[in-house]
Amino acid sequence: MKFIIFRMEIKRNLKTFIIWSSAVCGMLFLGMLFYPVINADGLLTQMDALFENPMMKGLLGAFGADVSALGSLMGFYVTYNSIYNVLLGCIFASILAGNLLSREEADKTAEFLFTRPVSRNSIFISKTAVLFTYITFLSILFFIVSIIAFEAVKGDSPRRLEISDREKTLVIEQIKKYPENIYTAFNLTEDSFAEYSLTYASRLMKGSASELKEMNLDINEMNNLIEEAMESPEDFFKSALDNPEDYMPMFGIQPEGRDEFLQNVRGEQEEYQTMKDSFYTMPDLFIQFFDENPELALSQFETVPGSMLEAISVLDLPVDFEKDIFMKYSIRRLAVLCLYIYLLLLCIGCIVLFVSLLVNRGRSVLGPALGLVFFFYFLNSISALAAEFSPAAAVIGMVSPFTWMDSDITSASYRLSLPRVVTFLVVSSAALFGANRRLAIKDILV
Amino acid sequence: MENLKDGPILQTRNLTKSYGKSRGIIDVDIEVFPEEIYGFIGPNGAGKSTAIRAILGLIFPDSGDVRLFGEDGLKNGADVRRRIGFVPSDLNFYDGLNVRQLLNYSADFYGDRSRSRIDGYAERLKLDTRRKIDDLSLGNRKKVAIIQALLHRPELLILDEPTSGLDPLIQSRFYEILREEQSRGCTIFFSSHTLSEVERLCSRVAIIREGRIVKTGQIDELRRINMKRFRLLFRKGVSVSESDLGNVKELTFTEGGAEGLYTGDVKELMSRLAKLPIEDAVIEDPGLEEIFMHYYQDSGVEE
Repeated sequence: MKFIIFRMEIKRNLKTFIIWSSAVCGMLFLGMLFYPVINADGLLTQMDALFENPMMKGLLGAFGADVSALGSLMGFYVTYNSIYNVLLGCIFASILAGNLLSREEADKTAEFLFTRPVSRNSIFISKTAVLFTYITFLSILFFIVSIIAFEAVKGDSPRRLEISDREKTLVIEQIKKYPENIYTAFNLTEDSFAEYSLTYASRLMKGSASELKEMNLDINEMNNLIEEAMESPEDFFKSALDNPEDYMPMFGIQPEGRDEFLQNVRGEQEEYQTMKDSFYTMPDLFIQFFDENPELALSQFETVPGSMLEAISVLDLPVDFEKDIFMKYSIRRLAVLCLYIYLLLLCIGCIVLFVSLLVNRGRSVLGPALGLVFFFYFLNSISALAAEFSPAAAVIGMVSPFTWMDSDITSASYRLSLPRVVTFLVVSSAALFGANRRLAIKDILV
Repeated sequence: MENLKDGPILQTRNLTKSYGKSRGIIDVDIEVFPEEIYGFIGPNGAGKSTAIRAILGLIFPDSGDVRLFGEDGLKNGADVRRRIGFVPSDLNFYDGLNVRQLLNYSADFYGDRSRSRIDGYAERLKLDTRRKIDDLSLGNRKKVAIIQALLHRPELLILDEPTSGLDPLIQSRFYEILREEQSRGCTIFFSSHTLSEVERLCSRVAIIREGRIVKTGQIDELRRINMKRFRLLFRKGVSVSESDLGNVKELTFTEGGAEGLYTGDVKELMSRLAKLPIEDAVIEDPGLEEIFMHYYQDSGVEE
């Protein structure tokens, strides 16, 4: 075949494509221009505390918005764009897919098409190729317009530390090579130990909540203790030794255990002091802290560009290392997101194509097609909200292709995951196969 | 090709298709031989379009088979359809295209030479190829349907009510084209609900009624039906009795006139009418349904 049907269908759907892609790209671009405005004076970063409120998070999560992500440009991008533009794209994909074959019957043009000297299989392939072509174009446009929008607003956006595992390993290697330089590189003083060690302890505790429970310790009380200790470890030990009665109940120690408790506290105090003294001479301790929480050592460079130059030179890190970890946006991760969006649009398109063939005589398929998209979309949102309360709700959400996407673009280790890609491809091919089988045996009634 | 000369170009055996309600066809057997114009007549809703759709592979029969050019029409659909031209009864085309774009699109399916024939046919049928499909009248739409079926010089033309909506001049040009196609070697399957049209063109016919073929045979047999519907308006104050009219059925007297069905030689009717005091007379072909009601019931042919 000389792509006769393909060319005609591309031409016939061009107008729809232009309208929808302009809408999607226009909203994508204009929406990004809002970011510098609402982020004036770092407003969003200051509001982090508000976004940490679980009620607020859940409420906004229901609309597909992870608001805590708004503090960074990419976070804003994915939050904003997951609300409107992917949905718009899906609506386009479903209108296109719904129209391709079933509108031939509704408009009574099917008698013309299906009496041409071509097999139904090749009609199906041509029509599907049109669907794939336009979805591919839309995804590429989406990617390009996103980059343009990022470039347009990145000057007014905060930079965020996003360190990947690979970069973390690189820093640790360099620290091991130049252990004596870490103190200049990360501005460590004798007092830094308190912050590093207690942050480390706090994170360890969060990671072992179940063990704490077994020991009958209240996690909130423990956190309060660590916060108190962080202000001044010396004062904390002193206060524990002076008034052990205030602290003993937290550990479930009866009054008769007072002496033993005091002895333990003294032991801890001594150990703390030894570690603190050796912190300045033993890089291993720092590496351990860094490995657990690299953000703590690096966040001091976040606000001032160029502040990391000394660290880069003394640790012999790559020249662009500061740019690599303090990014305003990452093209690689954007590309991954756009690939997911592409797979999502294809999947929705294939499912709607299949559904459109179940309808006889080309009764309007637009309603069911849009309904399906909204159903999937809200199923995803609602199950995400409900999952905060019951993990079982997340399972229900798995039905929706929107759930198969990973939009955690703010994570430095964001990449395509094979199971997700396979899920998309398997479902899309199954829908296509079903649609093809269905068309092969369908009565064309006009 | 040669060995097909003897066999039928189009053949259906026990073709049966039912959907939902009463619409459908039951055990339709049709045989159309090379270079004949075969009439397929029946009242509206009798199953003509259903049979044609099954022949073209648009719908799949519940049972029975379709052979086109000696091949299985359902299995080799694409190859077989290349040799067929089809004029549907009720055809819509893609909005937004103009006539030439649509005809070019259709022609492209069949090969390079099809496009070059567009202008000739458009001129003969008086169709302006620059007009938008959306703005076309029913008649002009029909012209587009006819032209797209002819462009690739098909070996078999399947026409479903092709003349509805065409004005008489274009109709006669269309018949002229059909005769040319026939003399070129084309076989024509002509579906219609108008008896006189089929009489003029076809050599053999199949009559379908309520989904079944009730009669097949030479057109001459149909001619013998020879039934006319007449309406008379009498002069004021004059009355006419039934015996004055001869062999009439369903005679009903209306205010100042009468109407009914006449079977027999039209000349005899004319001479009888000439003697009567009438003001006005209309003599026309009755509807097919009427013919079936009276002719087939009376002559004992199965329903």
